[in-house]
Amino acid sequence: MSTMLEDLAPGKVSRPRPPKPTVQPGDRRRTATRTIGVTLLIAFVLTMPYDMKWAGSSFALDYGVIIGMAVLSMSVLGWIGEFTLATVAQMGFGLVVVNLLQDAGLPFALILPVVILSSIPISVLLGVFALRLKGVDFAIATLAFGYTAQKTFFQTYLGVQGGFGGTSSKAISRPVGFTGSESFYYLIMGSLLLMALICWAVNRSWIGTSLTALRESEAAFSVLGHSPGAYKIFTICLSGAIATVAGAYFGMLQGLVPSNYFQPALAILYFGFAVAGGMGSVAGACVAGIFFGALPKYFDSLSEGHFVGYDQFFIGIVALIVVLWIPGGMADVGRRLWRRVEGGGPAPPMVSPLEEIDVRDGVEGAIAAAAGLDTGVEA
Amino acid sequence: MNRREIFSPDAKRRAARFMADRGTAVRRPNGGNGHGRTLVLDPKKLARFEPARQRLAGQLTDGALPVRRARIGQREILQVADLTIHFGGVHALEGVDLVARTAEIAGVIGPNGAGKTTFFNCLSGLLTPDRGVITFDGHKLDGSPASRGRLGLGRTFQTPRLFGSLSVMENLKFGCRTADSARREYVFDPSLRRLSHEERGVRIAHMVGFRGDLGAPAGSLPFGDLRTVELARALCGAPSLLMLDEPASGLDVAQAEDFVDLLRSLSDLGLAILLIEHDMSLVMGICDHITVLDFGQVLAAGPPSEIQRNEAVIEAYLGRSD
Repeated sequence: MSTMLEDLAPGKVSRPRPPKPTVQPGDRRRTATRTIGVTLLIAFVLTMPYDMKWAGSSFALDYGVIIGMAVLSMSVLGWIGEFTLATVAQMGFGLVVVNLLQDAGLPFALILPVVILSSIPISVLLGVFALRLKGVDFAIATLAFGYTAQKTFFQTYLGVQGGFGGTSSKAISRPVGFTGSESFYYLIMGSLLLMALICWAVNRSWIGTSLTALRESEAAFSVLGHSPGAYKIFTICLSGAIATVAGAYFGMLQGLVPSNYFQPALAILYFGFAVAGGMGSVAGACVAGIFFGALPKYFDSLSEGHFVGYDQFFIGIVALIVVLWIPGGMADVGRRLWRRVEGGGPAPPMVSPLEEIDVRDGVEGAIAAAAGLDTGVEA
Repeated sequence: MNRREIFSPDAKRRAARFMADRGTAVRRPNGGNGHGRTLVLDPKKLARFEPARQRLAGQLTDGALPVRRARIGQREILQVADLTIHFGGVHALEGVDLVARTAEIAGVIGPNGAGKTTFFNCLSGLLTPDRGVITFDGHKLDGSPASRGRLGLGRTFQTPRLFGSLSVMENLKFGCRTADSARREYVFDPSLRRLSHEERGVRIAHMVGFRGDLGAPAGSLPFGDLRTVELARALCGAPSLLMLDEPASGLDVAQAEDFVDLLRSLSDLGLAILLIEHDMSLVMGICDHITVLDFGQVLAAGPPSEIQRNEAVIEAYLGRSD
């Protein structure tokens, strides 16, 4: 009865019941393809340490997965059309926090949440930069932050020549039950997949839609009553949490980490990986990170050390090819291939979020920029 | 007395049906001559009001009653005093004063570079003025653009700024979310508040005359549709003051006529509208009050009939012969 009355209320429009969707032959093929694809992917992920044994130890794979996390943290910032070069510094903070917590005797199950929480103050600080700066300006500010952290905090904490090795107080150990290369692989791969799942869910939700809107026109987004600052800080916190966890795992993997390992310039390399993977793409970032992180290590191993030093060359060549001929990155290639396998039409070309960085056109924007004002004006 | 309670539901229904069936009587509040007036149009001119008539008929079919606010009473919703902003050595605005009222269309005109868009940007918070006071609906405006949007300041841009990779409906939902989170009422149709975001989006898109696919990416729309969807998105945010920056540029004749009609209807329903436009015939025909800017300063202000005769305005637009 109440439903009928509600339906009669002024302003209500009648809602016809949507017809039941009929299953098309194409849908069946798509479902079957997806099921097979996901099964193969899971099987590949689970057996990867054993599949790749011929090429070298699982260390290479573990290293690649951690680089995958670092690249994912960079790629996430592509959602708001920005890129950070503070990732390596944030990884360093994660490493220091793990060291402190392990010294305090905390179990691994508690260490990880604390590491994530510890990333928030640094991310909020970077978020303050993001509220004032855009595009290249923001990236330079984050790089400056990385260098400042390196020259002050890390060198003071680790010692100029020091590191985690040599003194028992600064050693980082792997969690109990995950000390072997294979078992550690499952731990970090599980963590990477969880991070990817969270990022994917965020991107698919209304938050992701808002971030797309923010990236496309900050002025329109804000005059509609939505706060760009809140969304920017949220994204930077998400990115920072991923980077900090990556740093924590990196410490566990290496055990011995010299202070100069976390050179801020390394972030530029990771940024290159993110662009090659497809800036803003979750899957692209993970694949590019693992690919560019693990493959050079396998080359080192296969060439019995002869390829050491050529890894950067190899990465440079591949990244150059991707940037020149595949602007959407590996994610775009994967998307096109997958659509072909599924039997769908050609995929629309992917636009890199970086193409929308620092869009300030119009006379007013030019005048404001010339006057040194950061107005955020687009019109 | 609450404005919505002035007319009984029966009276409102009769009035709306009269408008829908006849489309002959259009009452303008303080129209161009400063007095209330009733226009009775001859049958040849009725065709011009056909879109509005159909819209009203559609709203009646949907069960919603358009509430006529005309002549219920106007109030000042926006007061701008001594607004000044410089970009380095460029005096973009210098001591600008302006008042906007509900159920009134106020025009801001001026030659290129006069500071019209800068004025809008100051009002919506995208630029921070060096000096001046902006009061909106009793609140002093000095917050972020987002806080102003939530207070009921809606706007469109000179170049439409839709979220191109999102669908038209997703664009509209952004406005609806603001209306809900800020608990705003739709001045022009209070019944919208009870609808879901999707239903609201459909209704408002229909109202502004968008007949395209609501699921299509906004970036794929032709220019005229970009303007109408941007207007719909602003309306979805339930603004009390709608600021339109050259809304008719790029529209064809039919679209422009529909657009003028829509603005008149919205204004009659109580919405305050601030309009920047280069099409003088449109501005003179639709605005109740006009402010002319030149080199960032107010050159003249008044009803259209006065502005049309103002020597300084004519000189600013046409130049002096000697």
